[in-house]
Amino acid sequence: MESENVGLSVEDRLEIMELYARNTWALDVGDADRFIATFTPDATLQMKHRYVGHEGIRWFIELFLQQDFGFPRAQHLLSHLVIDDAGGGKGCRSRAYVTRVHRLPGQHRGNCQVIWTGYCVDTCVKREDRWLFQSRALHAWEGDVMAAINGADEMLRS
Amino acid sequence: MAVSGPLTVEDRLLIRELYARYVWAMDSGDLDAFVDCYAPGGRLDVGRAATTPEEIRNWLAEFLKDSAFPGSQHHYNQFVMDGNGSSCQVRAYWARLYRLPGTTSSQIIAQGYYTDTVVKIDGRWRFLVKRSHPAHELREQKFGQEPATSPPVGEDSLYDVGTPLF
Repeated sequence: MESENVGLSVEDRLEIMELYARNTWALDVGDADRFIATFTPDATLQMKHRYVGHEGIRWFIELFLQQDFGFPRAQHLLSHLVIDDAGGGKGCRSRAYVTRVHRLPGQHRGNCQVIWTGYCVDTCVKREDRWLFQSRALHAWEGDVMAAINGADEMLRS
Repeated sequence: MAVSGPLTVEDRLLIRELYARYVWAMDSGDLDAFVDCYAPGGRLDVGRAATTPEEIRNWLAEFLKDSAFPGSQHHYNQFVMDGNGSSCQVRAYWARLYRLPGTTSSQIIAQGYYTDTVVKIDGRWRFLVKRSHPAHELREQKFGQEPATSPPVGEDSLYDVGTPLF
C-alpha cells in the first residue's frame, strides 16, 4: 500500500507539476540554461549514465542537443504523476509515465510516432519557495518495473 | 450521517493520482497495488465483471496474459469529475500503447473511455465502480445519458479533416 499525501499543499502540488512542465519544455526546445535551472546545484540526473551537479547536467544536455536523433522534433509527454510527501511539505518523491513522441521530417501529416515509453522516479525539494529536482531518473518501461510479469524482458526483445 | 463537503481542488488532484497509481499497478503487474485501488465492495466492469478483491486480482492476472503485455502502457486524460467530498463520478478518455517488440517505438492499439465512481474512505479515494467503454460507444450514446443523433447518411466522418496546414 502506498503512502498518502498529507504534507503538501495544493499549491505545492501544482508547482511541482509545473516544474515538470518547465523541465520538459526546456529539454524539448533545447534551452540548456532553463533545463539546468530546474535542478538543485547538487542534483543528480540518471539517464543511461549518471550526471552530478549543474556541471554534469550541462554536459549531458549539451551532448543530448548535439547528438540525439530525436531532437529537435520530439516532445516528452508526462502523465500519471504521483507525488508523495517526503519531508513535511518541503520535499517529495514523485514518479510519472514518460512518452516521447517524434515528428518525422519531411511529412505534413501522419508524421508522429511514439519512439520511447518509460517512467521517471524523482525527488523534489523546495528551496527559497521554488520547487527543484534534487534527483531525476528516467528509465525505459522494462526491467525492474515489470519484474512481476513473467518473461517480460525476453518478450520485449523477441 | 455526516454531511459531505464539496469536491475540493485537493480531492480532484488526489483522484487523478488514484488513476495514476492504478495504471502503474496494472502495467507493471502489481496485483496487490491494483486490488488496493478498489474500495470494499468495489466493482470492475471491463470486459468481464469482477466484484470481489479475489476476482479483481484474478482479473488482472488474466489480463497480464494479453498479447500486448509486457511493455503496454495505459494513458488516461481529459478527466471530468462530478460529485462531492465523499463520492464522485469520473469520466475520462483512455488509450493503450503497445511497445513493438525489438524496438523502443509504440503504437496506440486501443482507445475508449471510462465512467467510474470513486469514493473517499478514511481520507483515501478509491474505485467503487470502474466501467470501460470502447471508443465507438461515443457515437452511440452520450456517456449513457441519451442517444446521440445519427450522422447524416453518406457522411462517413464527423471529424474535420481540414485543409493542409503548411
